[in-house]
Amino acid sequence: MPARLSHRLAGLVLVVGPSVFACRGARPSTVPATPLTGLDGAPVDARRLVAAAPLTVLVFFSAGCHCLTLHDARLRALYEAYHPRGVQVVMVDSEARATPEADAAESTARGYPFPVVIDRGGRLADAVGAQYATYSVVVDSEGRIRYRGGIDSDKMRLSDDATPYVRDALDDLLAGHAPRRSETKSLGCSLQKW
Amino acid sequence: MRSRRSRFREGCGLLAASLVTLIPARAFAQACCAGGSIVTPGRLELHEDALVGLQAKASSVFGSYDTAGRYVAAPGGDTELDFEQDLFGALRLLRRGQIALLVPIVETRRATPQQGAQFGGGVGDVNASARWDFIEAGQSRFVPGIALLAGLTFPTGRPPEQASPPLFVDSTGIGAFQINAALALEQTFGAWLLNATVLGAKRTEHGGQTLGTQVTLLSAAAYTFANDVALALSASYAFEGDATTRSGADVPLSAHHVTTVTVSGLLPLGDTFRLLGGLSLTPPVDSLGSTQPASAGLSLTVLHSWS
Repeated sequence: MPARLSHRLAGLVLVVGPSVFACRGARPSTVPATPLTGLDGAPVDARRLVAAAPLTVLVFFSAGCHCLTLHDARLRALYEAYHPRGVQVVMVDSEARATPEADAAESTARGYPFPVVIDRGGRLADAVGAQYATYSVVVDSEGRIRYRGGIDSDKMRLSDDATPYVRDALDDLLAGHAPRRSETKSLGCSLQKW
Repeated sequence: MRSRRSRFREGCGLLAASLVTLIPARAFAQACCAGGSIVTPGRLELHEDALVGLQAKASSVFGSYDTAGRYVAAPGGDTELDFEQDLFGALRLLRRGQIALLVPIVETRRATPQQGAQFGGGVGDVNASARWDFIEAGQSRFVPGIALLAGLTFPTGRPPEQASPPLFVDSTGIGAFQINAALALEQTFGAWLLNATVLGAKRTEHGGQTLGTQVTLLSAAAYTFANDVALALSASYAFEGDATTRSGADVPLSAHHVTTVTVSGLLPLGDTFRLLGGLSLTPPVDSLGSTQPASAGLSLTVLHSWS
């Protein structure tokens, strides 16, 4: 009986232990080479993906997160404004239930003009510190993370005077400056990664 | 009595109707953040760093359970109205940790044909608490959100023996320190959030007696709509063992239990304000309580948060 109890306690420690110290790890400053999957099933390496453009915006996706859905129009507008200036936008689905079929349907329904990739096991999300949908990182072609955080300062109720965090970061980087903010808070839903 | 209960039902209907008309037709597969807040109003939602809130509660006692658990309606002419205004605040210390403080103001109005009516009240027992979320609800498909809570209630209220006879309406506290600990499990299933909480409370000795250990089981189901409007149904069962004297002897018939059912709604007012309303009832059904009053109540809470 004591052995069984100790096994259960060990299991509990294994489950909850990492969460106690989860906030202590230093987040990497670069995107590591992480295997991703395109919606056509083709393998995509995260490092190679970001090398394809001077700047890449990675936005973490959750199909059921209304906070993200409300930002869809702003993301489409972001793409329209910055893609001609060499910025690529990529939606990353790191959730455990992600499937190419479901994400393709979501992408079509939402009118995403940018690609969606699947991050099996949430490895890229863990590597860049993404815990919530709408979390965005702006990465340069060498894989360096130049900005991380929210798309903007809005959560559920979009306002005209929201601070456009990602746009500000892109404007600064395209002008050759460091972003005025390198990190902000993301206000989306928890990503269900496991 | 009849007219007061009728007005109470009208108020309940009004609140329910106002919430339902604000519900959009489409519900999203996963609620954003409101589910947990409706179950425990004083708790910080995802991304919130601090909040302050004011909760006003009113309840009417319409009967009681005897020591055998039989429901007995209140005698004609005996009435009790209980009011409470809670000022509370919560502050996030780390991503997973938060602390909270609650200051209650308690008032009671009792009336009997023999004693007439009395009204009294004052500051109740102040509570400080802390919560640590090891895992947030929805992070995993298989493991629910797990949180541990600990709290301390200070005897800042007026204990019963210092209250004014004959109706003791100005009693606002238990006169003892109370240490609370709780384990809360919570999981999201699409727009639904299910919560199960077990809470234990131990009290220190006061006036030669120590109140029995109190255990409360709470289960709740909440549904959050796309615009963060949420509705919840919860049920709690609170059991308290016999009080003991300083010599360790049980105080006869001091154990009691009570079941409470609550329907609540949450209405966001922008991203930083939210309004919560609740209707609670001790069902007047035999064996759902013992040695406790049965009451129906209404609560209204307004919260302001910072993210």
